[in-house]
Amino acid sequence: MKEPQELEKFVRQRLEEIRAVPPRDPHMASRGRAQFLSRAVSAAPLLRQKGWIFDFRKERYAMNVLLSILVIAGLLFGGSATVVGAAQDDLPNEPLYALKTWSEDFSLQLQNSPEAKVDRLMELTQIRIHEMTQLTEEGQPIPDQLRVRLEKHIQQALQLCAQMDDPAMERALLQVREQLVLQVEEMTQLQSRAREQAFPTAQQQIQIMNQTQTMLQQRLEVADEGLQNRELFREQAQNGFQFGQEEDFVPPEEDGNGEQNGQPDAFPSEPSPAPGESGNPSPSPDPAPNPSPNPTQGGHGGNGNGSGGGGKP
Amino acid sequence: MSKPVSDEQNLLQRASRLETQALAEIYDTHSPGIYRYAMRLLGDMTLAEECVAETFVRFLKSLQEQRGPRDNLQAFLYRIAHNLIVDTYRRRDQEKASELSDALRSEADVPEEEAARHIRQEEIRKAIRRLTPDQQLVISLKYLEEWSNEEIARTLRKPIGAVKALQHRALRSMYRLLKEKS
Repeated sequence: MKEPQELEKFVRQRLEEIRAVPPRDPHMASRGRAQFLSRAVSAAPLLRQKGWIFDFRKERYAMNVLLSILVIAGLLFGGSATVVGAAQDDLPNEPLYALKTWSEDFSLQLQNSPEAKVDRLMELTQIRIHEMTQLTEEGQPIPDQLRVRLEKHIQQALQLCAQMDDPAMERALLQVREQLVLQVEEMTQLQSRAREQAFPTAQQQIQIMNQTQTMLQQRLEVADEGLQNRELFREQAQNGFQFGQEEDFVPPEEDGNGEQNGQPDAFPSEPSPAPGESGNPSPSPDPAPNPSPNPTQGGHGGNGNGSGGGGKP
Repeated sequence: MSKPVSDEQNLLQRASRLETQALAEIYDTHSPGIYRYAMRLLGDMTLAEECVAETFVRFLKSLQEQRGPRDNLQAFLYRIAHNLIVDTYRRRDQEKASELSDALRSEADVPEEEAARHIRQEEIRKAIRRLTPDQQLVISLKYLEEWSNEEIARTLRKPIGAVKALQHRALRSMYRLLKEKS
């Protein structure tokens, strides 16, 4: 039998034949990456929705703020964090939904980088789609504001992408893109389901889903264009993206009551940016949509930072 | 390639919360190596991409089920990838006849030298396939990926002495199998 060194030398030499690997197809590689991240983003909401409230150990400032708010919420509602936690399963037609959207907005403010914000926003889009699905299955009408809020999340995510450097923007846009592709498909499936179930609300549901699907497709095109031409994408972002027939989302007046017809406002205004985020001097650096100067304007897209949508009465 | 332990543990903690940035970092760090590894052993770009995709799907699933790795991420991922490669080998053995005729047909379309190289490569892969899964892992990680015995021991979850013994047996088998062919 050969000496171990000789065996090793022989095998090593033969293995050289398969050592060289042709370059990886960049298209396949980036598609694989996007699919993986998209899968991860889809998986995240359920895991994180359960845990985000208690996941601020490293953010002392955030924790202090949260504790203060929980104490106040505790005094107001008598149930502190339990109430916020319970609200996470509520649908737009349920009483704690306003608290749910508020807690989402709050959690968004706690994200400390544009990438993390995009992650969170895309999770929120998935939650909105999930709500549409649940309402459809229960035969409940889908409030248009649900579509508006979904649109706002995507708009914010795209605006944030535009503020990133090239590699980060590409990664984030791929992630947004993959998510949008899945959501467009989900809308198609959901419409079929609404037709099959034939609840009295089906027509209304399908109409909202149609509008949602169109909106998702438009944003998908924007993301695709952004991947092709980053500079143009940044320019479009500064102009608030033009989406033809879309209306500008107008957050409610910050007058502190946030109520409609005696009911808590289920779609509260977007929170102001976290400290240190609003320093970008560009015309529309803040992903959060600015209130439109004319709340009644509709039917023409983008006033510089609009997210589209039905507007707030 | 390998990160300091604390960095990796921190990254894995973030990954366990399914933070996209952490997962993207893990993918960007490890997927090229896993692709290379799969490509060397499978010799097929599509299969190699499938192996990478499935490796990361399983990794994600392990995180979702809270049974993801707490350290030695590289070892964890290569172990998954290698199991997938072994599965592919098994599937291929079952499809041996059709594969052979496909190979013969495709050899006819490529230049002679290229065809000869392809045949030599297939012989080597075939020899690797005939080793036990652990021997395959040792041979490929040691001589193709240039990993240390310690790293291989962590991947196999065996003591270094056992890895050395496996390595020796694998070398002897490879020598015999390749000599037979030549």
